Amino acid sequence: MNQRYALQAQLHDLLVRLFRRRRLLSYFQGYHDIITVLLLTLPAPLLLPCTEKLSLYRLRDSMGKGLEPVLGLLRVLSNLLSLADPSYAALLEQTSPLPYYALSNLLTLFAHDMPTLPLIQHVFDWMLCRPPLCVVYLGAAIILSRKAEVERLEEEGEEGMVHSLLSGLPELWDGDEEEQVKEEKVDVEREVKIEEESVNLEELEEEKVPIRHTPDDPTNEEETILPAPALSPTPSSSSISISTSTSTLTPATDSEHITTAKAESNVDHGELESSQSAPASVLVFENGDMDGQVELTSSFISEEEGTLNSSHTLTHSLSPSPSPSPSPTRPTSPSPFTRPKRAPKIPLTALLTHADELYATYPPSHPSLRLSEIMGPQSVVFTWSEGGAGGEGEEGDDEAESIVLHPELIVLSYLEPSLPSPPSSSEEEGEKKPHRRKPSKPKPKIIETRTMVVLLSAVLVLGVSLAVYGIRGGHHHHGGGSGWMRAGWKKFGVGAGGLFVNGAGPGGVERLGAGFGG
Amino acid sequence: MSKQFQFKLVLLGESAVGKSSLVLRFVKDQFDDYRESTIGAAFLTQTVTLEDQTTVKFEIWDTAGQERYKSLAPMYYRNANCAVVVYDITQTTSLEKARTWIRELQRQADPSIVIALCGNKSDLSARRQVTQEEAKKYAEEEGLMWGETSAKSGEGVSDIFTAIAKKLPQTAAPPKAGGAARSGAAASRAGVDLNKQSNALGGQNEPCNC
Repeated sequence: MNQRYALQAQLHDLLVRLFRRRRLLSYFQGYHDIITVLLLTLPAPLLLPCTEKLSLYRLRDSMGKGLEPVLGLLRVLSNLLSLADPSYAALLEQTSPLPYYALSNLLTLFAHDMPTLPLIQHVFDWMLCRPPLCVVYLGAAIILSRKAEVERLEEEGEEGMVHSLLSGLPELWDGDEEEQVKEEKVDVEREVKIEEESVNLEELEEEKVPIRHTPDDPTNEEETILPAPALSPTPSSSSISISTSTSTLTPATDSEHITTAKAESNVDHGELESSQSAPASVLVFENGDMDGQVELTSSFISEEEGTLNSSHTLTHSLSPSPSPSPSPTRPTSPSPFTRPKRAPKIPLTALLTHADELYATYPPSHPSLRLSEIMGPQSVVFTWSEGGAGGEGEEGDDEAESIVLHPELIVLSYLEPSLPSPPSSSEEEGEKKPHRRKPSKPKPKIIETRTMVVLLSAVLVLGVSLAVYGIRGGHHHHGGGSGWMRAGWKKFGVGAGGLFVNGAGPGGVERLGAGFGG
Repeated sequence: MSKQFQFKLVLLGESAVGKSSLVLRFVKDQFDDYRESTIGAAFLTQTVTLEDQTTVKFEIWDTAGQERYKSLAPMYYRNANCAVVVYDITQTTSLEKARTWIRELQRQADPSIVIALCGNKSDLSARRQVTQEEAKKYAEEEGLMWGETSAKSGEGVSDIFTAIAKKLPQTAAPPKAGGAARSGAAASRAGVDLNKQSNALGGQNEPCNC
């Protein structure tokens, strides 16, 4: 419990520092869920720079005053669902004209609802080496995976429950998670027997010994029997975490039912390479003082040319084009997860792969997505760029921050947030005739896309650092029972968020109040 | 055969006053010290059986309190039969916010909507900033139901929902024929569903308590 309070205090401190540093950005409920993932993953010196980059270049749209940008993304999501499965999309629209149930997933990058730390870390690994819009594709993959359940609820007339069903996540399991558990056991007990390779650890429960045999699931059995080739024991503790993290990445895809995801395994290979080059720099960071972080970040990038290259190949192989050769073992129907009555757990990697396929089939440029008619030129979905290296430094960051002052350029159908405009209007105008009016206000200078390359730093730092999350996670594991790290990883975040909401945080950060609407 | 009703209820109120906790107590009789903030809205159901064996199934929309989610609220209070507007008895400002919501409901919602003003966190009466007299007087002026609750201790929670359930069948128009039939079926199933929810089985019919 003490550890929880300590982490709460750390989270609170981190958020306060971020909002002091970036005074134009506003807190939103759920932001702390995202930052909690970083806090539990990254070494301390990386926390503030990564939080800042993530906020400025991925979360920025949501860090203004209103909800409109994420509502814009919901409209894009709705269009994507209509493309991927028109009849299902029509069914969903009967219940809710916009997929409001996906709001928390899009707003919090899945951090609000993902049940365990390893699962959300895997999602972040996936997400951070893709453009910001990838959350819409993953959101769609999740909604599509629940078609059978939604149809049943509709038949039963439980329409309100559709919202409940879809605003949560399906039960997920992750090959990574099993490896993570092994890692913990190594850390905590130093007594991991080889036999445990054949044990399925998917059913994790707090406080219980997280091991359960599931002989009735041949797939899992098969997966766990596979040798983990990247698991090469190494002496130093940091290397152990690294090698473990690589091993968690590999089997997740290699042994998945989706044996055809060649590109995906390349991707993981890329991640392996980048994560392997990471430990040294991370260690350098740990010695760095906090004031020099930003410079350190950029020097980190330029120093790690190898990392940069590998992550380039990474993103390229990622820009998901595995679909040209649809293989027989993978159903190419838009909803491959049609599930029987008792929904089995879904492998997270299947969702991620499906999201990549959706991206390949209906890329952001697809006219029916109407992305450029919905989102404004200064939305992160357009300003984000993976090209270029080295930072624009503070100036680029400042410009990015100032974008939140012009919400009408972030989402084109922007409505003044203060209007108690009954969504009835906006809602019923709905998807069929979306707002097409262009912003009438004079445009302030449009920030060149080029200035957004700083993002690369953020992506690299975050991507690489998340890949080595064992470093920090390991400390926590030593610190006490590991159960809460999984089942209750968000719990302490709640308290910190609450502190914010109540405005009762120490230090009297008066301007924070504005962000909370308090 | 006893009468069955199904009503849509919406919870409104400032952030962190305890809307989700109130629903959690009402629906599952639980309390969580570390309640996560609600993002967007959550949907839950609970059925109340009155003394005359009338059953009232509440379809509860629990909204997010943060200001930025305000524009979503009309979607949830539109067509609502009843609204519980929650404030925190230890925060005067939260009563101000409740007044704002009540004004909005009176302007925008269905004119027949039953509104209950609910002062939560009565277990923290040592830190009370809103007196019972003040809140009660305001409620009477506006023709609202009023009560104090503690989601933490459970005090007053079922009372306020039961009071609403009693008042609704008299004031609100009875559900549509089709709706009534469905309502009957749903009500008879509700016990099962709720058990499922509390066990979080299968990830189905699982309410989002976020």
